[in-house]
Amino acid sequence: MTKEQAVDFMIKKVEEIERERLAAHFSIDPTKQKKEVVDGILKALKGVEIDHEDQQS
Amino acid sequence: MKISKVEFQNFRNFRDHCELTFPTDGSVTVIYGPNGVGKTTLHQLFQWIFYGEVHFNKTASNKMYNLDFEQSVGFHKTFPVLGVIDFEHPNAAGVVEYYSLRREWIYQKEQYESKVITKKFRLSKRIGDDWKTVSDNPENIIEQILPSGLSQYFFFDGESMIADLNQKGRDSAKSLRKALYSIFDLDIYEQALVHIGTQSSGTSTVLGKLYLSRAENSTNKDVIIARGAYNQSLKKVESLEEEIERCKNAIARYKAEAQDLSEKIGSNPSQEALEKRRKKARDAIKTIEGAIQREMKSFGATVMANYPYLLISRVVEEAELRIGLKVEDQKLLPGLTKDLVLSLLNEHTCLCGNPIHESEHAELESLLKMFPPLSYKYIYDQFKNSATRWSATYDSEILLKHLEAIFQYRDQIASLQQEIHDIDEEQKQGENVDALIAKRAKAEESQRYWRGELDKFTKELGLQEQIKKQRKKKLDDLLARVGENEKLDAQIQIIEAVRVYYDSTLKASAKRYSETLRHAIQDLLGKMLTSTRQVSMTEKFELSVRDSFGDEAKSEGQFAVVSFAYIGGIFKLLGDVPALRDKEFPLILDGPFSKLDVIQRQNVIDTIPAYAPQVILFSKDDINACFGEEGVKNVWTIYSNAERNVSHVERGYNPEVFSVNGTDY
Repeated sequence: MTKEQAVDFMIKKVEEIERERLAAHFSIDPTKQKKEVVDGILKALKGVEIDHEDQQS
Repeated sequence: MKISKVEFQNFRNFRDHCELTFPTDGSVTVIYGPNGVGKTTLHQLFQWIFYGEVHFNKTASNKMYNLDFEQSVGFHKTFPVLGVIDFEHPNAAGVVEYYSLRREWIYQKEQYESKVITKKFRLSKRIGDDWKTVSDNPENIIEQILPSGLSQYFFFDGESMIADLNQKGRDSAKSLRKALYSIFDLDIYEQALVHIGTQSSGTSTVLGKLYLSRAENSTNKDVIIARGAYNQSLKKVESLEEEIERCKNAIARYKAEAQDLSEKIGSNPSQEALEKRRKKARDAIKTIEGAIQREMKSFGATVMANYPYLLISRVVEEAELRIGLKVEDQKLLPGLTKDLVLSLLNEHTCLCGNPIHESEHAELESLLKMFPPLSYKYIYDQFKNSATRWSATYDSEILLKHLEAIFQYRDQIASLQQEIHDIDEEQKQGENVDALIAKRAKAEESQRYWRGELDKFTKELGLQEQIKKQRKKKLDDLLARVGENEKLDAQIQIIEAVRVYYDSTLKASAKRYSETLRHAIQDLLGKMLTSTRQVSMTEKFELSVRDSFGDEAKSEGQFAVVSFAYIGGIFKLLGDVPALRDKEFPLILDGPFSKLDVIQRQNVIDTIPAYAPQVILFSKDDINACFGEEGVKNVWTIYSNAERNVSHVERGYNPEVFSVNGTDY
């Protein structure tokens, strides 16, 4: 995907992860929750494949 | 949503069942009630039914029942607190649907405080002529219809708003920001920004982690050394931030302790006051002991009045058995009397003229024995008649009531004895004022110590931040020299772009909503105030109102008008939000009308009906005249007893309640 598509994808993905966190707001320890969110975003980011040509452009 | 009926029983001041109906045609309802009769309680009742939660004096309370009602309940017995709201609400297609929401808490009476043992919540929906229980997550349906995050605006307390405006409106701004961020999902963006962080924010954020990963992938010796130094700085800064947090918590704790001690010092009851309370409790015990004596006497008298019956009925039972053996009705012919038998024994001939033989004489002798001095049968009948007469007045419930009263009195004595014990303890623990002052001084000393520590760590943090910055710059330079890490650089760029998106969206939204709200408040103030006032609102929703000289509003009257404009503005803002535009919310407003002058009051009343599709006003002041010659059509008035612990609501406007200032009605 292009960088713009990757940004759009990650905006949606981060929102989705944050919504899940909010739904579990009262059941999970906040520190653990923060770590899970950060790791979740990084994991989603790893799955993003950027077009080589787009990177060069 | 429009509320058509509220029904309740045993809720705080309201011991007995009450039912209020409201029009849903847009006309305003007014509920009158002077201070202390239960106006705030009734205002809070709506929130309890919808959300199961109320706050009295900013404190969440679980004690919903009426104390007078509770006293009438025996120990370990259960009793309910009930609230029902009927409402109508248009569905997504715009068709009005009818609901009934019922909340019921069952309490069990215990020695010191009754406890909730069951909480019931039921939402029913009218389908045709039937009511069907909504079983699929009813709480969520209520949340969709009337979001709890905005509850303080649907059930608005103008007095609290005025108190907060006196404090620069910080609490209102904070809670409004929280509510609006939640409704518009901005809290998600806000938290996302925290989690994304920045490249220099360490290992607990996305960008911080990505940056360090980039450095970790390098095998360059200088980069490894610089990365180690930067990591050290990160840890140092994180540790200092933790220390600073710890200092702030300690300062807050000791500050609260000092404040608490100041209040104790101010309110520490004198020995005289404690003695007065103890004497009052002792006198009450004496009075109750007298009542117990009276009950015991009554019990004795009741027993004495009824015990002969118990005794005689027993004798009668036994006599019946014995006489049953002796008395044979066929031998004592009907009409045969003792006099007749005696007369025949003295005669030689019978009444019929036949001679009385020896054997007949013996028979008469045996009959005579059956009359000593009256017949057993006669006595038996007499007893039986008496027993029947007594039994008509005998009632075991009477005895039981006396006993129950005695037990209840004894419980009251136990409670009063506990009170005396508590007073003794209070006296023991009620450290003298000197000790309290010494404690407060210690708490203040601790505050000073932690403030010193805070300063120390803050300075240290500043220094370490500088070092961290320098080390990061060095690492940045080295990383630039050793070449790009394409994948990580691309990832960092993507996340930076995401961060910029969230940041700009958040700022733009906050600006848009605060500006919309400011404009709405300004517009309403223009209609309600005769003099010009300039409204400003920060993006954190902090409100200030200034006059033409730039001075901030200070008078309670102005604050009162602002509080009405504030709630009107919030409803306007909610109406402008696409996701909420099709929803309708009621406004149940406890209005500070007493702080308004005549013109302000009229102006406020003129604008209020436009705030929401349904408006229910609570007022301690007569605002009837503001509604034109006919006055308010829908009026309810709260009445209370002299002790102010049992209230009820009646339909109708009663001008007398406003002339009886400060007395019971």
